[in-house]
Amino acid sequence: MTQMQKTSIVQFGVRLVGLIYLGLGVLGFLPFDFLNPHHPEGVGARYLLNLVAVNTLHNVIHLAIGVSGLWAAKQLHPSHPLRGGRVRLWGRVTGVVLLLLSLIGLGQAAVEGFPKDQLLLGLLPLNSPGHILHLISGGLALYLGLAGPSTRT
Amino acid sequence: MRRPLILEFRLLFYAILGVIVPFGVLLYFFPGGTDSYWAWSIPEPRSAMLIGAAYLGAISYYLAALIHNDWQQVDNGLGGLILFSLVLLAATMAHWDVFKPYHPITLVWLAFYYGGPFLAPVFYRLQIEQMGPATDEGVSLDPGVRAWLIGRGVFYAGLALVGFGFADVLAAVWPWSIQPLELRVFIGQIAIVSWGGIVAIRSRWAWRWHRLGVLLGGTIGLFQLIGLVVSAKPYHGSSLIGVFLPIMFAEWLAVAAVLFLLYRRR
Repeated sequence: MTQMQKTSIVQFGVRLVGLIYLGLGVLGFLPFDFLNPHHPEGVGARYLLNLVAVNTLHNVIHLAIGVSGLWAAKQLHPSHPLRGGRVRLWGRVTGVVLLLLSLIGLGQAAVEGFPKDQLLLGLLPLNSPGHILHLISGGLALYLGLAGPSTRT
Repeated sequence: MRRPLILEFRLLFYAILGVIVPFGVLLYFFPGGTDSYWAWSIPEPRSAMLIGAAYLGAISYYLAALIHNDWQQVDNGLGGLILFSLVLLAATMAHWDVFKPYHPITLVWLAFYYGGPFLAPVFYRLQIEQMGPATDEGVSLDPGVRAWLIGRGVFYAGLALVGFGFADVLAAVWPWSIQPLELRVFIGQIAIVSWGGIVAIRSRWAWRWHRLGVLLGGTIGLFQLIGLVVSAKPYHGSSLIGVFLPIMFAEWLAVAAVLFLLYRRR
């Protein structure tokens, strides 16, 4: 694969992950029960699209991942492959953080006897759809971070 | 000119086969044991077989895709399978309360259907960048066949939309006792078949565009027909949907059989 192709695919992939997270972050703030129903039986979280347990902090983190991803993708242009370092760094950091969050969340769930949802560090509501979302998106972000164009060309 | 699949797609297809083979075999051949092995409890074995048939049918698609290794053939069928993933993700959203949240199958199920929106666009782009876009090569479909594909595509797309939206109503008149979740998951199969018409509308007339998608629909139709016949559970064949279902599955199979007979030697 040429340097130009790598640049283009990394930009596309990071923008996609950023857009999905930005969308999830915005949707998470909508207080409509048909969209994000409240589940009082567990840790009292709303379930984003009836799947992912979220609260305000969790939504802010989704927004931050989305905005930073879109910003990182904008830094990268096929005609400026030397600026690929930032987007590679974004992919690596985001990927590692999301994968770690997924593994820690799954571990905590195992320790707590696999409850319907859980609270990480007393702050962040998590559940199995959230763990898998973090796992898949983290894996893709890390792939993009590792596959991205080198800064030394 | 044949454009081979990129490594990422080939690895993804092997991983998908690793999931759909056990999914299909369990649901289709052991439909009575979903309480223990499946992500949610499916009380009626006919419903388990209805879902399992899609996974068994999809095995033919992925095996053929790996064997032929030709992007032009994979491209459009893949669109149908991505649509299927999105329908099943929407069904999961609508019925998450029914799922066993940490059952291993649930975790695989979630990964499988999250994977579509995240991985498919990136790999698709990677495929085009590395190998170039597939071109409209090979023998063209006859005008009558095109019209039939477009017509059935529009019909099945409408059916899928109405069925997904009104699954509760549809479940009440289904030929056997079925839960809305199973019905919505089944609607994903109708969406796959409707995709063939969308491909045709995009003016992709070469048979090679349609080959694997048609194979997929035909194989699912075959397994569905066999499932309807071999299941010993009650089936209310006198109801409207009871009559329509076998006709629809026969149409899926017949379209595949006729098109393969028509274009195989050309």
